[in-house]
Parts: sequence; C-alpha cells; structure tokens
Amino acid sequence: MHAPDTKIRNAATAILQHAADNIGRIILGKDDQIRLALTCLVARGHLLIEDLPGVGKTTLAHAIAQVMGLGFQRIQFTSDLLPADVLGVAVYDRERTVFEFHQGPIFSHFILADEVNRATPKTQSALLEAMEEYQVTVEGETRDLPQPFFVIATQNPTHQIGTYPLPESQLDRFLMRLHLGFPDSLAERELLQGEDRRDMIEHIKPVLDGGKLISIQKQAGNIHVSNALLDYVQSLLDFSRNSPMFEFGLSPRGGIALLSSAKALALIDGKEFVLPEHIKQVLPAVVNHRLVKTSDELETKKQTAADFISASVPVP
Amino acid sequence: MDTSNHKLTMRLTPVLLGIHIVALPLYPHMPLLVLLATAILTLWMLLIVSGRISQPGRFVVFMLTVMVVAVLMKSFGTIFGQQPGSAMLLLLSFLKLFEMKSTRDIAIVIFMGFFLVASKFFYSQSLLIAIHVFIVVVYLTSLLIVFSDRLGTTRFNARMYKSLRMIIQAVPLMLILFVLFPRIPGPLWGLPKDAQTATTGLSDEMSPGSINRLVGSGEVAFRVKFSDDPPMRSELYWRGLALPNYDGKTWRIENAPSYAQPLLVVPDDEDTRYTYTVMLEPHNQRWLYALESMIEYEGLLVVTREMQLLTRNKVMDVMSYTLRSDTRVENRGLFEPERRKNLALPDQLNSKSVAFARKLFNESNRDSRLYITNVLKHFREKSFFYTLSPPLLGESAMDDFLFGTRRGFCEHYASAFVYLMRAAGIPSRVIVGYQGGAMHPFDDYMIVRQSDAHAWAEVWFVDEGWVRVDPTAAVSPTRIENGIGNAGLERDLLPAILISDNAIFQRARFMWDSFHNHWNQWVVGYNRNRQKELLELLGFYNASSGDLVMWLVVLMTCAGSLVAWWVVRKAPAKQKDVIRLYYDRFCRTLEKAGIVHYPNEGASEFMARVVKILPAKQHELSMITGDYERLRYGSDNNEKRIKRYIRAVRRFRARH
Repeated sequence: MHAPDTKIRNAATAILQHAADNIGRIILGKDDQIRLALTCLVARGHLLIEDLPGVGKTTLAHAIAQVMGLGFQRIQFTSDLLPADVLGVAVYDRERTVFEFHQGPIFSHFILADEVNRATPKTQSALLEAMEEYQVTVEGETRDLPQPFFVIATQNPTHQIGTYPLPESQLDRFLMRLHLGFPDSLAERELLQGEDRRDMIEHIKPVLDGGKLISIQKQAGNIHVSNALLDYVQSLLDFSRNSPMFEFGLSPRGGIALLSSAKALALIDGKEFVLPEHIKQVLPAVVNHRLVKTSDELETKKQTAADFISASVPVP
Repeated sequence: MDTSNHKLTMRLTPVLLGIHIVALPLYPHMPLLVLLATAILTLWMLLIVSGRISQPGRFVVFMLTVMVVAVLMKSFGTIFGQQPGSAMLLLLSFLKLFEMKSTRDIAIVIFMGFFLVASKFFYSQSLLIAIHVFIVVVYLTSLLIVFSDRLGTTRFNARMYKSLRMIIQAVPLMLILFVLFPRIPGPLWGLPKDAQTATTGLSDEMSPGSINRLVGSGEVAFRVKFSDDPPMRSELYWRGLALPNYDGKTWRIENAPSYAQPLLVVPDDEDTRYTYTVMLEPHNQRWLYALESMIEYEGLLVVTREMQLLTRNKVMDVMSYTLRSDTRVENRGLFEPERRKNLALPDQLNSKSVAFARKLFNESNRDSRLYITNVLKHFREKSFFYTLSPPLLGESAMDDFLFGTRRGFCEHYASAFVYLMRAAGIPSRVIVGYQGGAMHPFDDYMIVRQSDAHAWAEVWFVDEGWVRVDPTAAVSPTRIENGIGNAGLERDLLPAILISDNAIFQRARFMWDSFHNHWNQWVVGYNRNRQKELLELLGFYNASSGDLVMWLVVLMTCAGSLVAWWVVRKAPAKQKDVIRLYYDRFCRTLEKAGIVHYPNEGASEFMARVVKILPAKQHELSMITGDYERLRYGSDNNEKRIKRYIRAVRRFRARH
C-alpha cells in the first residue's frame, strides 16, 4: 500500500463524509439511506426510491444534487409524457434550412425522474435505455450524455389506476432501491420546528464537482477485494439460486452490483478493503428488488429476501 | 392444533410414501387384516396431511395401539416371531406418524423405516430385494436430509444426489464388514417355525400327480458347476430320495433311516468320474441332490444306506456343496429286512396286475433281466402314453393304469414298474430326483429346474446289486435324451423358459440367472468356507476370528479416514488459513464465556455485540477484530501484524 494512495483515499472519504453530513442536516434521521444513496452514486449506479408521497424523496434528490455540485433536472413523469419530452427533439430551422437538435432534460448530470410508474412503458424505456447506455439516439444520431450521469427515480408503491409499475427486468437497471419511511418522532419534531427545507437546500455549499466525483468513483473501483470476500459473495449468489424461496436467484449483474456497491461503501467508511459487513449493509438495497419470491412465506415472517439470505449464509 | 404442528404434518406425505416404498416387498407376506389396517391408517393420515381433519389426541392414539395389537393377535395368534414382528413394526411406524410433535419424531419414523428395511431379508435375500433396499436406503437418507435442513434450501435432485453420495461413501465400509466379519456357522439366531413357508420342490413322498405338479414351474432347483465336462444328458440322474414303502397309493421314505453305509464297488479307472459343486436353492428339507452314484462328499454331510445325502439342518438358505460321483458305481448291499421291505406290496387291490406280472415272469423263464425287458416292451408296444394331464385313477390304481387309462407321467410309470417287479418277487424301489439339466448358454454352469423333476426305479440283482431302470425312457425316450421341453408334452403346461422360441427372452432369462447365480454364490452363500477361500486368495491362511476382528478394525479405520478425507477435501485449504484458525480460537474463547459467534455474523458486527457485554475488553477486542479484518480481507500480510494478531488471540481471556 503506497502512502499517496492512502492520502487520496482519505481525502475522498472526508469529502463524502462531509457531503453526507450536509445532506443529513436537511433530511433528518435518515443517515443510513443517505449513506446508501451516496454509495449508489459513487458506485456509478442509479437509484430507485420507492415510497409514499411526501416523505422527502424529491428533497433527498435535490439535496444530493446540490451537495455534489451537479446540474439538476427534474422530470415529472405523467401518462402523456413522450420519449421526445425526455430525450429531446430535432426541430427544423427555417432560416438555416437544417434540423436542429433541442436537447431534452435527460442531458444533465443529475436527473430526478419523479413517479416513473405514471408514464407509459415506451417513455419508461427511453429513460431506462439512456441510464443503461449513457447515451441517447435520436433521429439516427447518437449523443453521449454528460459524465457523471446519475438518475434517481421515484415510484409510488400504491397501485393507482393508470400506472405502469416497472417490470422486474427493468428494476434490475437500478443499482439500488431504497425506502425512506417516516422519520422518527425526534427528527419529525426538528423538521416541524426548522426552516423550510427548500431554502436550506439553496444555501448548501457544494462539496465537490463533476470532475472530482468521477475521480472518487475511480477510487472506489480500486478498493481491495480479498478471496475470502469473493467466496462470501459467491455463496450469497449460490444460495439465492439454489433456494426454493426464489424464482431464479441473483443474476451475474446482481453479483457485480453487490460488489461495486460494497466497494463504494467501504470507501465512504474509510476502509481500504471490503468487509463482509459492507456486503451485508448494501444487500437489502441491492437485492430486494432483483429477487422474485416464490411464496409469501417470508412476508409472514416480516423478513425481506436480503434478511433471509444474509441470515442463512455463513460469513467466511 | 397449533399452526407449527400443522406445518409439520403437512410435510409428512413423503414420509408416508417412504414407509410404503419400504414395506412394498413385505405386503405379499402380510395377512389381509394387516393390509386392511395399513390402508385405513394411510387414508386417515392423508386426511390429516391435507388438513381436512386434525391430529388425534393421546387417547385415540392409545386406542389405535391397542387395536393394532388386537389385529396382530387375530392374524397370527402371537406378537412374537418373524411375521408378526415385521407386521408390528410396519403398523407402529404408521402409528408413530399420528403423534408428530417435532422433527425429532419424524427422524424416529425414518429410523424405524431402516429397521423395516432389514426385516425384508427374513423373506428373501435375492438380488432384486437388495436393489430395492439400496434405493429405499437412499430415499430414506434423503428424507433425513430434508428434515435436518431447516432452511429448506436444497431441491429434490440435490437432496437425492447428496444422499446417494453419502450411501456410496459408506460402501467401502460395508464391503469390509461383509468380507471380514467373522461368519458364524448356521443361522445367527433360531428362525421361528413360521419361517418354513411352503417352497416348491420334491417332497418326501410320491403319489400320482406329485411330480407333474412341479413340471409347470420354471423355478431353479439347483445349479451345478462341473470341474470338467459334464456327463451325457442320459446319465444326468440327480438322486434325491429312495421311496421303498408303498400303501397302494403313495410311495414313502424309510421312516427310520439306518445309518449303515451302502456297500459300493467303484471301478478302478476314472473315465466316468465327475467332480462338481451343487448350489442348491433353499427347499426346506434335509436331503440334497447328487449325481448317481456319489462316491465322495464333504465332511458335514451324511449318507444313508439308501444312498440319500442328508445335511444336519433343513436347507433354508442357498447351500453349496462339492461332490464326486461315478456313473458306473455298483451298490451291492442288501440286508434281509431291506429285501423284505423292497418286496412288500399292499393288500390285494390290484389282483389283475399281480396276475399279469406272474404270467409275464413265467413267460420270461423266471429270468429277471428278460422279465424287465418284457415289461418295458409292454409299456412301449401296448399304446401307453406319456402325458402331463393323466386321468384320475381309482381304488385299484395299478390295475386302472396298466389295463385302463394307460396314460401317465413318470411317477405313474416308475410306480407301475416297481409294482410289477415286486409282484414277480424282484426287490425294487422308486427313486425321486431330477433328470437332465441345461448348460447355461454363456456361463459355465448347469441349471436344473423344478420342471426336470423325475421318478425312476431301482431293481436288485444278486450279481450287480441295485441297478437303475427308467421306465419313462421306454415310453418317451426323448424325455431322457432331449429333456422335458422336447418330450412332446402339452406345451401350455410347461414353463415358458423351456419352450419359448424368443431368443432375446431366452437370453435375458439366462443373463438374469447368471447374475442371480453369482449373487447367490458370493453374497447370500458367503459362509465360513467362502470367507476362508477368499482370504486365502488374498494370502491370509488360517485366519482366526480374532485376526479377522483385528483386520476389521484396522481396515475400518483406514477406510473411515479415507472417506473423511474425501469429504473434507472438498473444502479448499485456503479457507482454513492461520488467520481464520486463530479467529475461530478467539470465538471459542468467547463461547466459553457464553458469547456465541453466529456463522452469519461478520467480525465487526460480532465485536459490537461483544463490547456491549464486555466493555472492559474493548481495546483488545477492537485490536483483534481490526487485525483480523485487515489480514483476512485486506491486501496486508505484514509479518509483524500477523504475529501481533496471533499473540493477542492467544493472550485473550474473556474474564479476568
């Protein structure tokens, strides 16, 4: 281990901690979720927040964007939203007699896709493809999206008329899925007493910018992963595949997601290597939306898929 | 019924199925009442499993137990013995299912299943049963795997595979035990009386119909392995019993066999000597079969004056014995009481026959040999028929046969012939046994079937002693020369194996017989002698039981270690490196203080928990945990740190 590496890593950890603290001042009592959301960002993944309206999904997204110093675009998904509304459209310029491409809101570092399940599947896939490819193809021309590129999508869990819940295969595109939940009474009191969150966000000073974020993302990729840890990840995957509780088990992409998230979390934690605890901490957010349960046996025990898996697999 | 209990009963279907699979070969041996009880208990259990009715209470189960005993008493009159014992085990296994409270109860039922498996060997030790037992054991083991896997994570195929692997791992141990375990002469324990169930084979008496009843059976009576070429078919007379006593209908053996030895004259040249080993199927009788005439036999056997070969006990398992015979031996001995016995005829029921005999004897110039020729000529020329379905005979059986029906099987001819001899004053007797036998087409032994059962006659000459005369040969020469299958008998009354024209069927039958023979020889018939033979083949001479036990222990230990190595080998060595071993030691230290490390717990999580219990130890705990994580999950393998870590773990005490 070289000293400069350690130094850079420690600096990255400090920045991320600072960012988490700043966001934590706005979103109260949700430190774990904030940590995981940052983890997701550092691991170059996209985030799906699934919760009731009014628990602070948008505020969280807004705060992260502000702290990261990234350009922020919000797309409110509605049933009449078209792919062109997201991606952009080529408009004919009469004077210059050419088609000119008008970029859609997707051409931004940071997208908040609100209530994705209200849009039609066609529009949903336009977004999801952009998320996957980091590029957009309109009118036969491929355009790269700005880097870093990060999408937070929110989804209401209540099944309303006229919604198109994302299918399992598309949920897989999100590195993590988080639930925010209600704040506890102490945090709620503070929230009620404090000033308007919207004003507060505007006063947050960005702690980094796009360029720094990219280098932090690279740092996370360099976190050491031991054989013992790989054994652990593989036994988690094997277990999910062999257990009759789940339809198919985790895909190789799921395994990669698990590992890259754990690396990012290790970086935030200030560790130079990944611990089994990191895997366990990211496990619920990474695997719960990827596994299809065969029965509701776990629900009756109030266990999630991740709880069941991590309780069943020994740590090597 | 609480829900957890209900969940348990819902999982019982495979266990219920398991008991039925185990008991399948027992069912044909069980009385109707027991089968009925089994069916009722099964149906009841199925209703419980499906959740339609609830599990019965203690009282009901108790009453059921009483009823099971009642059923057994009604069926057998006792609850002791082989059949009642296995029936009881079967019914109680079902009953146990009714009082399921925990998975431990299921384990008990499965273990009862293993006992039930063993009880099948009381009824049959054939290869088929052995295959069935193997499958059943694999299935029962897989059930044990299911119920000990509380997470329910293994799928059916994986379970079966695991179980199969476990059983195969046990095979070397089984082989060592089988080969080396000291054999006890005779059965291990006295089988109860009811073990002597009816088996097909010759009995110790002969009346019309007693032999042609056997001809329909393709069952193997015994197999013979000749050390050289076998004799011609017409010399293949397998002697069983001599039947000198006649009451007008039935020929019987000598009631008090004299142990005086026969007076044999053996020719000097060895042209007609044959050494062979007979592998006799169990027939529940004391006598054995030998090629005429036997001159040497194994020490434990006994020969009577009538040239009957006897064993000490009834033959209940496959038995093999080696003999030496010579087809030209003369048996010269005849005491006066024997002479009288072999001339005796019952009351004058068959006056016509006696008159006919005397007339023919006088016509033959009172010459025994000419008389015999004339009698056989009479059979041959006076339209006598050889048939498997002879008409019934009346009170005067001989007169009816000789002058009425003239249709009969070998027992009729042998019987009539001896009668005519005795009527003319020539001592003679009926012999029953087997005639013929077919060489296995691609294995080196001969098969003698029940369908080869035969009866012939022996006549006494002053100058030659006892001479065999087969009157059947006069009526149907092909029976003797070409075998029963080609004797022109009614085909539909003969076993399929003898007359089938389907080559594949024939071949398959013989192949199976070949397997069966090897199985009998090396598994069922693996007795003291065979064990000795095998050990000598391996270079161990005069091994005592003590030596065997010693070898058994040594080999079991070796094989056990080998299997253990094979199992452990799967786990890669790197997982158990020094760092991990010391961490395990650290966990054990804490475990002694009552703090258990869960297998799914990471080191930091564990530490957080331990610190709450042992706050005074925080520094040591965090140092050990930190070093462990760094060494095991980091890229750091600093010697100093390893030493520090090991030292810290060694010094670590959970209490002051």
